[in-house]
Formats: sequence, structure tokens, C-alpha cells
Amino acid sequence: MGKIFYKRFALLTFIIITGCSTSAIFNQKAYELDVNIKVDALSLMDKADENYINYSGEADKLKINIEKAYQYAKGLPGNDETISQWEIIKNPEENSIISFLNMWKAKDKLNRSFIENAKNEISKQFDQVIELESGKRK
Amino acid sequence: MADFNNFWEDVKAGIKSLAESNFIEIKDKVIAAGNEFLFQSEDDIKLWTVQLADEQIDKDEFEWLIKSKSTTAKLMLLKQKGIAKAQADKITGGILDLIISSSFKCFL
Repeated sequence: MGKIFYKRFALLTFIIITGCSTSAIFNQKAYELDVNIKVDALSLMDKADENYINYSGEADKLKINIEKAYQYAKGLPGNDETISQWEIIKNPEENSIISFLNMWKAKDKLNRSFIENAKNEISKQFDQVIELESGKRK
Repeated sequence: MADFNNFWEDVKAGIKSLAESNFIEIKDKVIAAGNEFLFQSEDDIKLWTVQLADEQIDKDEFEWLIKSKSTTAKLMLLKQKGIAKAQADKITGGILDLIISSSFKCFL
């Protein structure tokens, strides 16, 4: 009687622990998506001193990949902060990769000094997403 | 660089004025957050003002870069919040694991 009771108590406690966890668990696929998008974004930004039209296909592809990463993040439990991060990155009103691409499209070419500065800043922005993913429970 | 120092003092004064006029109840927190933001961004902004003056970047680009600092700060805050939650869960999990193993040792 005692043994069964305590086994059940332990099982119940374990279920409660697992159920009460509010934070997301590290996800290898999400991490790889984050890193790949960062590499693709910085590589594309590097070409922004050339005509936008030559790279509009790559820009569209990058936007699709960002949307895929966002949708994937939305499907993971307890992932509120990462979802919010992608919502910021996707938002053209925020000064991240999408607004950079929009500016490039509007001006057709951007100054090299600006590109280098913007790459540095956007690299830091993607690092926040990557570091959050790698900081999750494993 | 004297021009930058004057500009920087103007920005600091602007933050204080903004906090006192629009965020009176939390003005100290706003001033502290503003100064922290300036401290973290000073080297980049100093470089960008030089590049703006030398016409290596234009006004739109300068404005874009300044505003990008705000986006970076938001992403950083979300990262810190997410990692804090993960650490809290890890600590809670560790404590509860300890309770379970101790229960088994004592009662089974």
C-alpha cells in the first residue's frame, strides 16, 4: 500500500513538473534554421551596393525562409519569446532585415559604409535569436 | 571630436527632458535605461556621425542605423527573458527531481 502510494506520488509529481514548465526546449532544427537565415541574410546584404533587381529573387527566398522559421517557431510549445523575436524581425516597421531589403529596393543601391554598419547590427540581431535557442533547456 | 561630445551631451539632456515631461512616475528608470542604451551604442553612433559628416552614409541610412539599435535592444530583452525562464525551469526541475529521488530513498 505504502509503496504504491509513493510511486503514484512520484509519478504525479513528475507529471506536474513537466506540465508546469513554461519555457521552451532546445530545438536543433530551429537552431539550424536560425543560423542558416543569418548566413544567407548577411551574404545577401553584402551585395546591396549592386542593383537590387539582380537580387530580388534571393531577397524573396530569404523572406520565405524567415516566414518558415517563424511558422516553425510558432509550432513549438512555450516558445513565446522566440515567436516575438521573429515577429520583430519580420516587421517592416522595425529596422531589421526586411526594412533593409525594402530600403535597398527603394534606392536600388546602398552605400558600402552603410552596408557594413547594417550587417554588423543585423548580425547582432540574429545572434539574439540564436543565443536564445541555444540557451533553452536541453 | 568636440562636436560629438556636444551632440552626446545634447542627447543625454534630451533623454532627461523626455523622461521628466512624459514619464514622470518612472523618470529615474527611463533615464537609467536611456543612459544604458547610450553607453552600449556610443562607439557605433560615434562612427556613424563621422560617416554622416563625411557623406559616406546619407541621412536615411544614418536614421535607419540609429533606429536599428532599438530593434536590437528589443531582441536582446526577449532573449534575456527567454533564458531566464529556461533557467528558472531548470532550477525548479532540479529541486523537484531531488524531492523525488529523496522520496524514493526514504519511503521505498
